[in-house]
Amino acid sequence: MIDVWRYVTANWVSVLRLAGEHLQIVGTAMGFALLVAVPAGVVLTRAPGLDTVVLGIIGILQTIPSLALLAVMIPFLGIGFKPAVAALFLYALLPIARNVYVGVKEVVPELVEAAKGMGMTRFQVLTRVQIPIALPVIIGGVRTAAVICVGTATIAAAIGSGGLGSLIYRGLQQMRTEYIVTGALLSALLAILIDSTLGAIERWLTPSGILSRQRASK
Amino acid sequence: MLASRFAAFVTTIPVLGEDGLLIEFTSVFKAYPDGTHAVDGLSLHVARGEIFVLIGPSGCGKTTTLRMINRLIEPTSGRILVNGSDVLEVDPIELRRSIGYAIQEVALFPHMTVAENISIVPGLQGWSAARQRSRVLELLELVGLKPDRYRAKYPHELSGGERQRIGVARAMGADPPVMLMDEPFGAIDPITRTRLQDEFLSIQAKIQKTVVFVTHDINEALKMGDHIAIMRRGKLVQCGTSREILSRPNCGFVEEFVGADRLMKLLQILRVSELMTRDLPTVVIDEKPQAILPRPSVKGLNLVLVVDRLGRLKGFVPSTELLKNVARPLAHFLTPVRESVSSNASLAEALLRLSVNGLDFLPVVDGDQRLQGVLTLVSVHEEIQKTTSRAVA
Repeated sequence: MIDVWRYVTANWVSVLRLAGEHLQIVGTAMGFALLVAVPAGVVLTRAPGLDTVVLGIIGILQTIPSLALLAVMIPFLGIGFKPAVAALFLYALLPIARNVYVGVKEVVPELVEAAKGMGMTRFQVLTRVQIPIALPVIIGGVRTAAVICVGTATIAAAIGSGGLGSLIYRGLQQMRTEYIVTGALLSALLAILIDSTLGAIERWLTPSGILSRQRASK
Repeated sequence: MLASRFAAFVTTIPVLGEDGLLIEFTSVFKAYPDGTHAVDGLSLHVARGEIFVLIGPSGCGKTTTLRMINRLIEPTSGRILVNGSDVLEVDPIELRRSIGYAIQEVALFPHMTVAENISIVPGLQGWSAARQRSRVLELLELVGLKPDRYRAKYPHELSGGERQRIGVARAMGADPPVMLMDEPFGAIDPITRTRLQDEFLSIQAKIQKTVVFVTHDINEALKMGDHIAIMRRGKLVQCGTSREILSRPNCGFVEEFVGADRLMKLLQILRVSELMTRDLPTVVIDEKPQAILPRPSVKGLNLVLVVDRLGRLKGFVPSTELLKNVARPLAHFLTPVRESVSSNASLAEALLRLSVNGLDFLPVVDGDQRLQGVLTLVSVHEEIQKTTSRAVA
């Protein structure tokens, strides 16, 4: 452990750079995933029949082992940053889309009817009623996706994307435990950090009415 | 040829609603692909400022009818006019924003405060924040909830009765001329429901909205409705005032639907004020008995009512006693009155009081004991017999 500490303090610049690369991959992939999966989840709530099919297809992606999916990207996107982002993007789709779908669908139909009957447009019903109420569930999905991304990004180092995973691989090659431990510890810390930050954002964004009700029902 | 062209032109001119008709259904049908008719040739009209009740057994089409007014459901044929415009020809969003809507489940938005819930439609219509705020205060007062206490509360912190009130307040948010209410008092206990009904009626007396109200409870319909439309399997069976429906049900179904206690219900609707005699044999307490001139006589009443200078009832004197005691001051031999009734009371209540006390008449007095009239047992009997014979015919 002392070796780890000595290593980190001596090389904190490069370690930080690796963490930054890691975050970049995760961030880019999550960004694209949100852009696609959130509208997709919403659209699926209005497409009975299609919803199970699409969610099923995206679900199959989850079952593909990460290294395999990363490798499959290589012929199309080369190695490094791009295929890593692509693979992470695919992994993040399901948790986000499914949670958006379930969250919005779970909103009690009377609320939607009342909103419609009062003269809200479909968009207003979605943005003022359905999504705010579904927000805790949606963010839960985002958190799951983010944690998956951090973990998979660690593996992506194998195809040259950099990040904290590369530290682990280097450590394995050179038989240096301090590299391995540093890489592993920091990726875990990163995952925890991102998860707690998203948790805090969830609490910040959740409309108080729902929050207090959740507390009350506990 | 010109005449027929003219006739065609005239029938296509939209009704302008100046005659006070706010909502009109003309031969409206709602059919579903499997052939069922939720609404089967419905024609009715709702006058401005009235509470119009739709009632009937489950599946009769009353809720479908209601939801066709704000175009949540579209008719398959027929025409529905709201304030002179065909609902299918106006923007549905604007239509719905101009019609208040309160559903059975209330469905207050759980993620919004009471104030935010109430200001939804005003917000959609672009009211200023200040105007929205004052409207919320106004409406909370109207539905009997202290604004300071309630405006920042969340729906899960409210009781059932409070939620129903907020639901009504929300429906009135942008002060719509028309309100649609689907069993708004359905899911609460009978005591709270009665109170809410009474409060709604007193609010209505002040603001005179046009309300279409769906219920399955005939007593609520009779109590709340200026006009009641009884539906069955999509068709209109009878439409009339509570009095008309109770005294002249037009078929066996209506009679049964109204309930076996139809006459009792009628008595609960008719007011003492409608049957009482106002032309009374009265005498002021300090008049000398000799000065008593022939007074109007009331059928079944052989007495004279004694009042003071302010018109307050002091007692009565049988006519025979009056003749015998010509020299004595009235105060000495008048009989005090044991029972009286208010002019607002129902005939049912009056009948009960008469029977319980074994009386043939009840003086009708106001809150200050001022005499307004007299209700005789004879007149109540006559009214009951008149009603029964009409129904049988």
